[in-house]
Amino acid sequence: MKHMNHDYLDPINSLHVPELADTTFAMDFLIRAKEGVRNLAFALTETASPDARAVLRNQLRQAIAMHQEITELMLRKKWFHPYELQEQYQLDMLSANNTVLIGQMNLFPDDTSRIGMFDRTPDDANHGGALT
Amino acid sequence: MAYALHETLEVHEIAAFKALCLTKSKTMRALVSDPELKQLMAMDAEISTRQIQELSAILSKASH
Repeated sequence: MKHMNHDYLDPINSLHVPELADTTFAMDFLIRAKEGVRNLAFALTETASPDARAVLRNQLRQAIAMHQEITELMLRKKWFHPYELQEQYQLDMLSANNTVLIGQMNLFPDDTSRIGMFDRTPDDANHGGALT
Repeated sequence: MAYALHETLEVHEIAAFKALCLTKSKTMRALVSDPELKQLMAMDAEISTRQIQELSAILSKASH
């Protein structure tokens, strides 16, 4: 994906997309795992009740284990290069450039607005449309 | 047992985050092609479900 191709049905655009998508999903997964560890550690330091602490501590341990699993998987697949900064830099630049190209695409040229079908807030069904 | 308000809020925030993670792991798994990543996401969905149940047990005790 060196430059923009305006024909989205061109099969050339599908080249390596599954691999590219997998690295993106794995990165999202890793970020969520990381965030989970941090959130739980923070919550644990703010909690005094023994049973709540037990639950949080247990979940923190599970979160750390999951983070390790994802990191090891990404290392094994060479999706992530913590030791080779140059390689990681190239990977990051590639994904940054691809993301910018996707951002510039006019993927949904027609009006896809569903206003009129979703003109009510979800709570309206419970309150008969009146805000309380 | 009653919890301090800030503890309840803390647990509430974790539960909201976990719910988002579970939704993502569950929906994104359909788009993943790598079998190992798929399996790990399935495992995460399973663990997250259990964790959300634990958190909501705390929250329901706190609301009494």
